[in-house]
Amino acid sequence: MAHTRVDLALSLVRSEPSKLEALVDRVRILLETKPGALPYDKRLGCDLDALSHGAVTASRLAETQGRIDGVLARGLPDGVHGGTEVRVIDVVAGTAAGGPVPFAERALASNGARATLAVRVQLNTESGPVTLDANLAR
Amino acid sequence: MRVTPPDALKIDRDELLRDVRERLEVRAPALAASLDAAHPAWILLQESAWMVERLTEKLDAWPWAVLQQFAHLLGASVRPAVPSLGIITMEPAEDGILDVSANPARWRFFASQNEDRGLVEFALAENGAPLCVARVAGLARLRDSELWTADDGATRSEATPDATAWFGSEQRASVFAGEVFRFQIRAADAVRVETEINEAIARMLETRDPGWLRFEVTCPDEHTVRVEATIDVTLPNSTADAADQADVIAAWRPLDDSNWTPSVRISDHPVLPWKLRGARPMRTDDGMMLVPGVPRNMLRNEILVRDARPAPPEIPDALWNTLAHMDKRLAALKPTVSRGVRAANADPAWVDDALRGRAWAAVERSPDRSYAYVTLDATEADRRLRFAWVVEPGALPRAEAFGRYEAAGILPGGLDVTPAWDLTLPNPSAGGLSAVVAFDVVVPGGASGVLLAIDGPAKAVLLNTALVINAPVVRDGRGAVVSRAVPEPVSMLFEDIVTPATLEQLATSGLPASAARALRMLPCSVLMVDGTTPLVNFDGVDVDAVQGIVTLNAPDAVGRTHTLRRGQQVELRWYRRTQAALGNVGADQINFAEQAMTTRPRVARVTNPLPTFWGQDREREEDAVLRVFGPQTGVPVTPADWERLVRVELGARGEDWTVRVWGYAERTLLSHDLWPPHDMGVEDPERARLSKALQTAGADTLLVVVGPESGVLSDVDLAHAKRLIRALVARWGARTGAVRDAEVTRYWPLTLEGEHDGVTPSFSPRESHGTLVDPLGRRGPVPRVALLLNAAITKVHA
Repeated sequence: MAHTRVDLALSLVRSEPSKLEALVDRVRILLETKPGALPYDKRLGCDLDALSHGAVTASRLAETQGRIDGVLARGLPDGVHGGTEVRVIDVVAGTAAGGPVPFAERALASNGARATLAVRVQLNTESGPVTLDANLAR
Repeated sequence: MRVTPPDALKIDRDELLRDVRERLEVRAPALAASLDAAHPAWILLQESAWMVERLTEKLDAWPWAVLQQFAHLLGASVRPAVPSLGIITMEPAEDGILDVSANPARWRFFASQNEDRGLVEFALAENGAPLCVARVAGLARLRDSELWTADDGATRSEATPDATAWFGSEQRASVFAGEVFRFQIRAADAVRVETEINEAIARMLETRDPGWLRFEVTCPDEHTVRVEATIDVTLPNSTADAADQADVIAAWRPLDDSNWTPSVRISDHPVLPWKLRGARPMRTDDGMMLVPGVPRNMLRNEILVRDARPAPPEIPDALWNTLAHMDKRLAALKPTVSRGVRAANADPAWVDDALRGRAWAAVERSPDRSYAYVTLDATEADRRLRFAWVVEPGALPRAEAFGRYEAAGILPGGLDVTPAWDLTLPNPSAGGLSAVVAFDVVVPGGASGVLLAIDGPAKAVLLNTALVINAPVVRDGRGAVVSRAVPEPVSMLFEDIVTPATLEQLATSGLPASAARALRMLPCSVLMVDGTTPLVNFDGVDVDAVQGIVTLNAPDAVGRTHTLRRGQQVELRWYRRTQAALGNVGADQINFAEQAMTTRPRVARVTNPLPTFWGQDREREEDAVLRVFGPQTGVPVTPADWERLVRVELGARGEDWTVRVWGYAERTLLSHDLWPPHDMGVEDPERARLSKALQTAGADTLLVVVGPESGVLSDVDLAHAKRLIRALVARWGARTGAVRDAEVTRYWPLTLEGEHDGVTPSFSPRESHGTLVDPLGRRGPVPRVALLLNAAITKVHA
């Protein structure tokens, strides 16, 4: 009978995610989860979708910033969240995204514009300040 | 003692998470410190806790699910929705009868939709209610035999101002200030007779002036003499006292053969001293009247006011006898006498007609009455008028009606008044409940008005009233062909169908007997077999009122089956549905009447002066399971069984009330007392009556205590509760015989100023020390007894 050898290849030195990676994961969880999506914590998350289909005005930018600030301040440990900055980086006029659009709707959509927002989040970690950049676009 | 229910198995997720966090803080403090809301591990823990909570909730619900399955297997059914009931008043375009025997939906009435509900439809709950073009011309009240006019102008219904009148502010009638007696004499030489009468009057005024009569003698033609004697309390012959110009003295004497003088009081004129206002004038032995301290600038005709009641019927004869005593020649004359009031003072106008027709004695049969004068067009034929009085609930008062004719006035013979129905409804404007008592009266041809009278104070009078029910007719019209001679279900167009059982449930839920009788006569449905044989009221078929399903070839509620053979066609011609609690609409919400163009009589306007009531949604399935398996189901034995039944009987009205039932055992085996206790020295007739009743009450009498948890139960609510509870006990008494009567009394929530060792509310004051205070502010010591039967300590102030 032939003798078979198998290498167990134990990985006893599996690296845990770094504190920064864990922090980024939490920010992603907080910003990507829609409020109400988790039945056991309906307040968790940030409703950025509600900001779509509106004019990009100063008040709307301030509202976006306020929502992100509120969610991060509630969800992250105390003192970690250092502030948020939201600005418009790209505006394309007269676009109608996605598939063939009927004539009348296309005429309406051509009056609108599509904007991309840049979000910059400042975090205070033990190893120093960290800046996270993200784009919000549909 | 009942077996206590098991503890709930549900585990609260917040408590679970709190527990996890505490354990982590002990065993893995570093991890616990990093568990913020967005930590993936914390999110997983939250999800697990949530699942545990949901699962344990299901465990709690499991026994009830088993019971529900049992109830289903036992065939227990959910109680159907109950339609609301109310009254409407109508203003018709012509006289007639609301005949719905051939077409139950000939007249349909609607409460319009609003923000809270959609259109609510009502149907007539009685057949043959009369409609009559009539108008309430005025309201009046008799208080201690004095007539008061009621201001009904501001309280008329906007929708039906002619048919709905509420009693408003009242003031003493001034109609009798111009009461007049008219004598007419036919003579060959009228001028001579006129002279003799004038001489007799002059002699009477000179020798024995009554002081309150004014005469006018006329001779309209050569054979007729008319004498008008007016009762005049304006002191035409008064003198001022020589010594003191402020005292007014006048003659005030009775006529011969009489000791009557008009009863007067000093007016409320602002110039008069306030002590004099409303007081009776002073009388002297020599037949004089003195009003002291009258200011010099006061007009004489403003000093006295006559009481609002007419002179007795014998006064005209006494007056003529007095004149005959002055001149013997007048004794041979036989004048025709009539009475009345002067037109300028005729308010209410019907008083002149009542005096003219010698009907006053019949009209004021009791000293406290309410009147409504109704005008209508005189016709040759007799007709029926439906009217209703809105009164306090209780014993039904006696109602009368008197016809008014142009020539003869109001005649003393009362008209034929028949009670139609009575119904108790909530009255938000007056608070509590009001009873609507409807009558039919036959108005004879030629009458141009009817004076309606009822004993006691009424709140309103309504004309052309009818009972309505939120049970609109559904003209289904679909046909079903029987394919097999087995039970065959047919769906109706609506759920919540009205069946005879539904109406019986409504009729036995505390309605007065007359209204219940009307409901039992209301047809619910017609199913036509082969176009020839009608099945009325779901006779011989099974009906599921909740789901709206008729099952052919299945026994009905009393076990009868109308066997239908294969090939027969059954048409669902019409049936009734209900909107249940939505049908409880407020006052003046029913304001549309729908009728075909050819329908006669036409209803021009309609409204409901009082809210509709009694509508209930169908029973919830959870409640049905509880009813079937609840510990009190079946024959009520313990006081707790009765408490539950009483609470069900009181319904929404007693939702917040405390209900306590004491049986014979508690009343005989334990020391007890009633509030207020004897040693408080408070005279409480209700307590005295109850104490006396309990002394003779046997084992078949319950003591039921009801009332709100704060404040005091009103008399109206107590009367309502008494009626409902006694009807409930009578129903059960007829079945079991163990309990036959109930003493119903008011619940007193007490505040203890002192110490109380125990829970509140507590009917047992044994462990309490201090002073008890009831909602009326009455204070008393804590009785040293085991039970306070009609009161409980609800609050404790140390």
